[in-house]
Amino acid sequence: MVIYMKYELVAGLETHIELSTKTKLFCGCTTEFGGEQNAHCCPICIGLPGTLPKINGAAIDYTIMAGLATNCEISLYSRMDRKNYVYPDLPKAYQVSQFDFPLCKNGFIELSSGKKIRINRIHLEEDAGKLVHKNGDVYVDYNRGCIPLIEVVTEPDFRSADEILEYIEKLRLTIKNIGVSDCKMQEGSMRCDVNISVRPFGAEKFGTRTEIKNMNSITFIGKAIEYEYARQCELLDEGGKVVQETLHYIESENITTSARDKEDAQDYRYFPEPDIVPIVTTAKRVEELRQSLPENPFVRMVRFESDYGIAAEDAKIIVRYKLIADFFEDSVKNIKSPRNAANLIISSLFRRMPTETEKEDFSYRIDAAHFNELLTLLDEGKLSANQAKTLFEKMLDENKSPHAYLTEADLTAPDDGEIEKLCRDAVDNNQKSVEDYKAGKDKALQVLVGYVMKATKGKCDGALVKETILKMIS
Amino acid sequence: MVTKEEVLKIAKLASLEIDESELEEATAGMSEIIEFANKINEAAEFNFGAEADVPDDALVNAIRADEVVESFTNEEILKNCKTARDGFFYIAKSGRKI
Repeated sequence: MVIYMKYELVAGLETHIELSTKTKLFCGCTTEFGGEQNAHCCPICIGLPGTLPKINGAAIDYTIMAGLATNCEISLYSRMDRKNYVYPDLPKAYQVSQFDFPLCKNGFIELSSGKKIRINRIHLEEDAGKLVHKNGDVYVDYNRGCIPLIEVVTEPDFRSADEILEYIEKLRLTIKNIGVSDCKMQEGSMRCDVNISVRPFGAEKFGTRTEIKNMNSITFIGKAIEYEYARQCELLDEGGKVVQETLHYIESENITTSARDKEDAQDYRYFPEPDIVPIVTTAKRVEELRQSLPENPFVRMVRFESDYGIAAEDAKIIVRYKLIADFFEDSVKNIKSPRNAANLIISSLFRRMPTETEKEDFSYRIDAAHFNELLTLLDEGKLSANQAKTLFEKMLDENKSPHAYLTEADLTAPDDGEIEKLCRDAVDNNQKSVEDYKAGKDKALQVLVGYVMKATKGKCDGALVKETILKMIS
Repeated sequence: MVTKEEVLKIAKLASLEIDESELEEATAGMSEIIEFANKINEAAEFNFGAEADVPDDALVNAIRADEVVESFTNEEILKNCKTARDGFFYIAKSGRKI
């Protein structure tokens, strides 16, 4: 480990995010995932000569929205460029991308430490097709070809794997929240390339970088960075030199292997795409898009804590899933103790949606109005926390109002006189607990309160019972 | 100016064989092409930063609505592909007969 103390990690990230438009970037073919191979294609997206691509307006809007959500400046003049390279996943032998006039630039994402990771640019481009390798032969499926992607490029601002992982998570939540992508890493709709170099601590000059391509699992991104950082440190320490190259991370063996010579920008022979005219937008349109954005989840988290008084940890876990956070807000209107809502959501609702996808899609439908009725009963002290939990489970099974399960008698809370009488009974029938409490055993009071709660089936206010009993015995 | 090293690198990326006797000529030829392209850069540059700088008659914003149009069938897409196999475009391992 000693040599690692000598070298500082310097890393930058390029994140590709598939936009959730209905159609491809330059033609009306569907972007639907899966389906028969080469069946979501037309002459435009397989690059036949003589076709004229036309850009999808929603893809432009979504890119601008992604830029606004990550504090970017929006370019009012932008254009598409051709990036030339020959590979079977690219039928035209060039990818339509953006080079010197990207739609968004100079943004940032702030980490919890307060450090800002600068975003150099966000540009719009088309995805490539999918290659299936079998016995050395290649089978090509162009269904994914030409689906709109944004590429979010940071400056080399990362100094640790933890910073990179936090950034990816923040970027994912931010983009998912504005609804321009589902950001499903497991389905490949969000993938990362990491540029890594190392330099002796205190040095100003960056070392030679390598790029690990196409990673779509947070766990493996962490492991790949650690591996590549260690590899470069060891190489330099043995007097070797890092070669600028593209690497693939082999998950099963936890190693990186060389993929191909890294090409510099000039090798791609970028030039303006002659088939697509420039994209000109107005400050007014950008402002309209800014107004249309939902609240940022991190701002929302802080607001949940201050407005609803729920714990920071609970707020964090709820805002992570936009639909559930919306459900929470709809449910706690006019509710005195929103904490009850947070508790029930986290303890009962989340248990019914074990996977991330289920929570993200809020697959378990329950009416906010019904949940609000349950929370109102809790506020009024007509239900105990345990009763509410049992009732909530029933409501989740059948999506009915809590009143469907309660009789009039269930909801009639004992009046103050009855509570007083029950408290008297509790004291009279539990003299030992009274003695214990007086002798300093605070827990003994719970026995007395518990007696009353049991007798009323939890339908009275615990704090009031406690207060009444204390008055009687002190 | 294009250097011999750059020509060799481009040749490598393009999988072209280039020997010492051709290198001189190729380097000079590529330099000439780049010189010509640089001439274009001397033309006045527009500042595209502000909306007003885009001329009124500029051809911009040929934009399509995000509406799904029926795609071609798998058979139609592969109709002119000589090496289709199992519904895919197919590339045989180099040297293998199709």
